[in-house]
Amino acid sequence: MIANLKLILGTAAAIVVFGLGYSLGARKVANLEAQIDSIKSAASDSQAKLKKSEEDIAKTLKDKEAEYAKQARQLKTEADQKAKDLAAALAGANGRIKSLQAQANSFDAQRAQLALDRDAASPAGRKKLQDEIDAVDQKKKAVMAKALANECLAASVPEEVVGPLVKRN
Amino acid sequence: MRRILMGMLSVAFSACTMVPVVKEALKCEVPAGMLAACGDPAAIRQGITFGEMIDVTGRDRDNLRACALRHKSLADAIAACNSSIDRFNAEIREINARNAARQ
Repeated sequence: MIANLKLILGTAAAIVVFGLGYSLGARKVANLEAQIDSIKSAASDSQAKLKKSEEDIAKTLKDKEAEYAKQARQLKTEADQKAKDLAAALAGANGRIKSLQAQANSFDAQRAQLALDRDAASPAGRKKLQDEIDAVDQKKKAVMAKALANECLAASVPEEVVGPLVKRN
Repeated sequence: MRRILMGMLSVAFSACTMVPVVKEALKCEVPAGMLAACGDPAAIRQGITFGEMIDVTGRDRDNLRACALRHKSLADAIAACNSSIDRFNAEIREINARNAARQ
């Protein structure tokens, strides 16, 4: 009888201790679960933000690439046109020299006629004709300078000048 | 006894869950076209004429313009990238601060 009572009391005491332990443990686990939920939520939130940022960066870079490609195409078109214009300008040097030479010859003829007129003119008219001759001389000088510049295009750059640039290559 | 222990362990581990951890860093993968190096200046030879020199100069100027455009585009792209990364980092700092306040 006493043995049975001991067993019953012992079992009851064990149940009470177990219940208390379970209750205490459950409370701690509940706290931990809340923390885990919070961490999971933060992680999930940050994963979503990471994904959005990756998408934003990809889109930004794609837009920048398209913008760059457009500007590079435009630059190349302009460069090609400039290269064509320059090639045509360089190739046209001989034609321009001939044309300028013809102008210079024309000024020579004008000058010769003005000189004849001046020599035959009265002293009062000579001054005016000499001014005209001077003006023609100035025009010829300008034309000859242009012809010389065009002739220079075919001339070699002096070795002393181009030498340092050649060495750097 | 061993069976009881195994049973208790399996019950204990069933409560474990996988908590995701953010470890990846953002990458800024700039388009390959923007990463191309600038070309060398055109070669100049002895006996080059003034006309050829103008041509060489013109080509170098065009290459410099193209290179400057590429450099500017690259700098813009990196700046935009950094700006996105800064925004992301600020958001992460905010999440961390919120999380720390809860604990």
